[in-house]
Amino acid sequence: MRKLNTLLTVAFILFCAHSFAQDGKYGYIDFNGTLKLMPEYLEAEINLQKTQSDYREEIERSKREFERQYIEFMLEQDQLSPSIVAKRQKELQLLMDNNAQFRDKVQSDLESMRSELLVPLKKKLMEAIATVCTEQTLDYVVDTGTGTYLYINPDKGVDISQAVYKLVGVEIVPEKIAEQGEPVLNVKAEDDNKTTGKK
Amino acid sequence: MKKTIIVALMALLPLGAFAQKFGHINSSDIIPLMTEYKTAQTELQTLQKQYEEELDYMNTEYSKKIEDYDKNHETLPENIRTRREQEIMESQQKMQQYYQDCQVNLEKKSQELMGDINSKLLKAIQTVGEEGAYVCIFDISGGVVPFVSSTLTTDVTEAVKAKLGIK
Repeated sequence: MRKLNTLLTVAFILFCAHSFAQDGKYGYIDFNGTLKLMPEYLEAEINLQKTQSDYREEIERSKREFERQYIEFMLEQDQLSPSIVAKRQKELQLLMDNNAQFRDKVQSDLESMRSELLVPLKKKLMEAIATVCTEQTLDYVVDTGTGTYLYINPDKGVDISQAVYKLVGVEIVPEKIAEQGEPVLNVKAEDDNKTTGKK
Repeated sequence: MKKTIIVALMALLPLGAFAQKFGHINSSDIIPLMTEYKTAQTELQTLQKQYEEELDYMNTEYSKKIEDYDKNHETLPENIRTRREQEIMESQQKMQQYYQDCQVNLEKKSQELMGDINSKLLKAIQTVGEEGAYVCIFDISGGVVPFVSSTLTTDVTEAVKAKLGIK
């Protein structure tokens, strides 16, 4: 009798879980793909590229400066006293270390800058997704850009891309969606190698 | 009368018998004539010239940085401008530090070389003093001794020069 009760309880729980899974409405969108279509993203990208180009120019200048000083030293070291040769070698070493340090700093600066620039954009996109979910009474949203979901049945889920695009000001409709007129789940994400399912 | 003269002579005799010899020299007249001094001067001048040339080189590099900064600073992004300013400041500090180091090194080298020269001179004076049975030989250069009588002390400059091989 006791065993029967336990079995019934387990069966009830499984039934509830199954019903919930069937009834729960979900949406799907490629988060990073949408982020890249936002006008602010393009603006941020331009800023980032400008900074990157400035840094690259400075790295090149530092490199040229080091090479000039090194060549000058090589040419005249025979005429210099040992103490001055040692001094110049120390200075060149220091210059080389500084340049290497600057290159590393540039890399980390650019990464921080990218993260900082993306913070408000991600916030805006999250808010838009939340708004669409409230409007369409969705329980949750799946990110198709992560590559985690290899297949999503479009009949069961709702493609919220277009609704979100409108809210975040994306004017360009991805070519594939416009042409095919059906949910496309493999919208190109940050990583080209990532794959997602499609009906 | 004869007796008085004999007594007077007897009284003066001990003074003559125990007369003490004092000598004097002027080291600033002798040192510049020493071969070692001339060699030391040449060595110091060479060192000074090397330092001056290196400071000139540093100054040229510093000027290049300033010139480049003046030309481009308005178009440079903030962080790169700061980096350039930092480089200029470091160059200036290095130059000042190097100048001070040069002064210290020159002073040290000069003391080292002059130390050897003074030792050689002192040895020559001591030899002249011992050989001439002098009680004391004064160096009248530099005003260390406030007064030395040129009539009551003997000028041993020539003797010292001879010991040092100066003609």
